[in-house]
Amino acid sequence: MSTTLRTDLVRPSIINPGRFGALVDRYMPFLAALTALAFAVGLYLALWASPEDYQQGATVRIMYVHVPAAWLALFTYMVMASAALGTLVWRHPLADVAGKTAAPIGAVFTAISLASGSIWGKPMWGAWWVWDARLTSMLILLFMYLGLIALWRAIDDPGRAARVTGIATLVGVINIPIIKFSVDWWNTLHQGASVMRFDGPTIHPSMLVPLLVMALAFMLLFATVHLSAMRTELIRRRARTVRLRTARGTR
Amino acid sequence: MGDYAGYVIAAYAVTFGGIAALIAWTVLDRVGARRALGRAERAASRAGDAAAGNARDAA
Amino acid sequence: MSLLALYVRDVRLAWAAGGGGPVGVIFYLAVTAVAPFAVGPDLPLLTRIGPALLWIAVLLALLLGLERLFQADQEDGTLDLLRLGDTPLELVVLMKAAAHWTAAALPLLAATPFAALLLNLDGAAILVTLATFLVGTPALALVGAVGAAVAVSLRRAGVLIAILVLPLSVPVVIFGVSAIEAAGAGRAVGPSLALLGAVTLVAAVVAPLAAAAALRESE
Repeated sequence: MSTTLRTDLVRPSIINPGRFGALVDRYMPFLAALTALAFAVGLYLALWASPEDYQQGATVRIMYVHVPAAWLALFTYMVMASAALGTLVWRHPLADVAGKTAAPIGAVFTAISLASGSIWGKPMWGAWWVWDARLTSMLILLFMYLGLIALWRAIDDPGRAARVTGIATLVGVINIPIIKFSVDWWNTLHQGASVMRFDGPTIHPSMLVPLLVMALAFMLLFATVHLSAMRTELIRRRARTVRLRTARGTR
Repeated sequence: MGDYAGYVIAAYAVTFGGIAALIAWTVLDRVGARRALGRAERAASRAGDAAAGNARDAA
Repeated sequence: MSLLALYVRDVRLAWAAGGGGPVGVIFYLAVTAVAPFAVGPDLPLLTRIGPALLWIAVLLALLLGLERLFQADQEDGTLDLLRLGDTPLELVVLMKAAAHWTAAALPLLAATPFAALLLNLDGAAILVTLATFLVGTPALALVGAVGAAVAVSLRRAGVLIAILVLPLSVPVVIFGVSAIEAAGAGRAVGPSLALLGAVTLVAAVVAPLAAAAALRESE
């Protein structure tokens, strides 16, 4: 006990949970305002100030929300994996909190990318769902997110939940490339109707700028929601500690 | 936007609906957590009073 | 406890408890027999989708015993002994996964010719299917061991293990079925089978490490 106290005094850094909470409270309004501003600019560029595609018409505008959501879905998993390393290697409580709160956000981004991709696919492919390699990998990613959320909720002790789920998260990191490769392989075997490539490397600058602004907006949104959710989880943990101490004291 | 306006509007509605749900979850979760902390602290202070009372009675 | 003794004990327990081999085989045949009721008794269609149905049935049948893979040992304290013992926990996990494969997957392989007859598969297709099972089911047992280890201390972990394990089983199913399809279309079976083997080898390295780490956390 005394050693943890001393390290806190020596290193009052941002990774100290108490300091973290104070910092988040102070900068949250700025971050939220910045997110809203980025979305406003991004939406203007995406819906008004960008050209329509000569092949896909107005549906190309769906790209500006679909692709950033897909990027963030993968990015969130990488955040969870880093948090899992922080939990398992350095045993840092803030890493536990970061991993736990990232999972629902990642699931929402994955769901958004699936839904918007499906809506984009209807006019392009003529069907709401096509077993395209990207969509299929995303669907499996969604199941992985939901499984990890379920695992997190199933274990009562927060520390152990973080470590066990961290291991499962890291197994998922090893598996994501294998799944991606196998689904691509499977997709080339079964290529029936012409599968369209949406976001190739040859994208015109007039479309790249709105895409990047939207991606920045999504990134800021992730930071805002994730930091806020981490702060909430820290409050919940304090409530838990107070409850446990009270229960021990009265007994 | 031509023939595809419906699809574009639907995609943006789904996206921003999801984002709104995410923000609503963040806010409601914070409110719930603050309440849980308040309850726990009130219970702790009550328990503290009771313990102090017991100690006084014993003395 | 030596590793061989652990293996023999686990296989014997799995058979004696009734949850392992025999019941799994009945489940496997029952799932296979239900499929024609769903898609209709159309023999050419069944021939075409038969191997895929068999793979799904095997996948589900191997999920059945996972919940008890480490849980029984956790409850009676065997796992504590294994944690404290000299044998690395990774090897223990590998042995237990091998025992699970022997008790649960091997009987399914033995029953596959009968299930395949129900689905109107010919001899060559049955042989290729068996080959993919032989290469692929160890990977399923190993991935399943990770799910079982992660959920070892949970009550009613069965569905949770299935949710965690099924996404990780996707590559195994893809390469397994694609090998069978390649054989049916007269293409080379080798590449798919080699990839399936690669997945099994990766699982043989990663799964014991992950499962042992999860078991250490769940003391």
